[in-house]
Amino acid sequence: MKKEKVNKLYITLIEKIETNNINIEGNFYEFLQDILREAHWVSKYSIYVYLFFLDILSLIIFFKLFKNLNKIKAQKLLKFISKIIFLNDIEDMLKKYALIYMYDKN
Amino acid sequence: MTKINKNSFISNNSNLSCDYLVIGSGAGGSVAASEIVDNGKDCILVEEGDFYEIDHFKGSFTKSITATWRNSGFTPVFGKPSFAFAEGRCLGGSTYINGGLIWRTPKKILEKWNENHLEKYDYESLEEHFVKIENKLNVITESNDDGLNLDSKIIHESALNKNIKSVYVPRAVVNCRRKNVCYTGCASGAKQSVLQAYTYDSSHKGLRIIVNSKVKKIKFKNNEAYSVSVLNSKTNEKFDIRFKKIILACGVMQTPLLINSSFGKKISNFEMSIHLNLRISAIFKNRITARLGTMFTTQIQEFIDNGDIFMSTNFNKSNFLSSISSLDNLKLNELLKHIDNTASFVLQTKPTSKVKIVNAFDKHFLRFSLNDKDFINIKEKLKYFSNFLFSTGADKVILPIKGNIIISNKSQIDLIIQKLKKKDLQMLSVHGMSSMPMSKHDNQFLNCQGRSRNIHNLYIADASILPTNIGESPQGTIMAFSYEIMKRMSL
Repeated sequence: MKKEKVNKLYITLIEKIETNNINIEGNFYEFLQDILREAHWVSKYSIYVYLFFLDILSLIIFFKLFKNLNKIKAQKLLKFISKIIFLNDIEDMLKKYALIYMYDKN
Repeated sequence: MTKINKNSFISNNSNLSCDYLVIGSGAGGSVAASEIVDNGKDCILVEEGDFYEIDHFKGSFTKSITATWRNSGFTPVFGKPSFAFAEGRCLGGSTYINGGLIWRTPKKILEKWNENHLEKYDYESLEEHFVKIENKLNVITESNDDGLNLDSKIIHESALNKNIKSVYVPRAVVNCRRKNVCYTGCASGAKQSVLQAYTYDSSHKGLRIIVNSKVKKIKFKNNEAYSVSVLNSKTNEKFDIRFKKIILACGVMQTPLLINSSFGKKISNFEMSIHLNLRISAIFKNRITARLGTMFTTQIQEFIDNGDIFMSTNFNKSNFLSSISSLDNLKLNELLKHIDNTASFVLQTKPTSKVKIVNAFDKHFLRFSLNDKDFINIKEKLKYFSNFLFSTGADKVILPIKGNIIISNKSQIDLIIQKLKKKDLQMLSVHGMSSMPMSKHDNQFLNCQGRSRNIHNLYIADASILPTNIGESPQGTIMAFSYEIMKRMSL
């Protein structure tokens, strides 16, 4: 799991949501690592599969790794993935964790 | 206030033995351990999770979710629909992360249980236990007169005006400061989990505690259990504990899994009953600032005989937005503008459909299929309570349906409910029970003393043993049953 990729995913997942007084500068990568350490084995492997497909699909569609995509292309990719059965459920789970992280104690 | 006796934590795991071994420190295990040490007996309590003071996380969900919730808060249940099952995993178990709601077992339920499953678990026999529990946990009902909890107040008053049954709920709290983050422990230390009310006290009476340690297997010889193999998750150290009697209170999933892995074949039916929670949010015309309050102070019980209840729930940006995460971010942003006019409510139902616990190669997963009867009931209640929210002054209602459909008038509800598919329901479960039910019938694993019919010194005292789905928060019942089992054990 690459730090740059996960933090980029976080920023893309919460894009366009108000950013006043929220945890946007933090390190979602560390939080996700904690989550994965204790996660159910199905959730754990699902998230790894999702992150793998994130790069594969990014390479196929944009010829670049996800971490190197610009904001618009990263959003387009997530929109595309959210239409794929199974991956959309994992994306939703990751978005829930992103929102929990973003608004922690808020 | 009593603190935990730090000397009660065992640091040297070699050559451990005791008279009574309790596995699990939640509602059932803490009562069992407390009864044992109160009777001057030797007891070790083993907990898979760690120890944290109830206010340790100061309201931070990101810190508490990985530390105190099993599987980082998300145990997937696959099926139609798929959803998450959540429970605690720390000293105090699920009572650490719940809302502190303590109900006495309804008389009607006990009558049914005594008729079909149990012997002499009548209301009068259990009353002494409920009184003890309510005193120790400081169970009270709170009014809405402090100007907070407007979400609870709105639905309560509106219900009473319409002759709909609504009641104040009994909660285990001392001076609740309305931090509204009960699921992180308690930011103000007001919630009385079994950790503070039972385990702290027991730790000063000779209870020995082992944390971060999972019991992997129970060893048996000639219908007697004599030892457990334990793995410390922090140090990876393996060790054994010998005992004379063992009380399992690992929770509705872990107890049957431990029995299963120890026997090497399926003993339990490996099904559990659950409650399903569907979160309906509403945007009101008036400001209600739902974050200023507690989980809930009132509950609509018009359909309680059917197992359906309705109440407000913990509310803040974090849990509200994560509950409607399938909405587009622009819509989320728009909803944030009305956050002080928004509140979330929970429709809790008691389905007849059960969750199957599948265990293969030391890995488990959960499966579920909502039957048509339960689906029809959920649709009816979604419709009823959405209409109800409009009648209380809601401008918009957000349904717990994939895509989180926002409706702005009653006429839209019928169409949406009509087209609704099972797989599109968004829900979760925080109450599981009845995976190893006690029974007077000889074909069941447990008798009415909570004792195994096969292994004569093995007892179970957690949510697993409840004969059927209870329909209300089960903590009070689990604790009362644990008291009763310890009483019948004749310590």
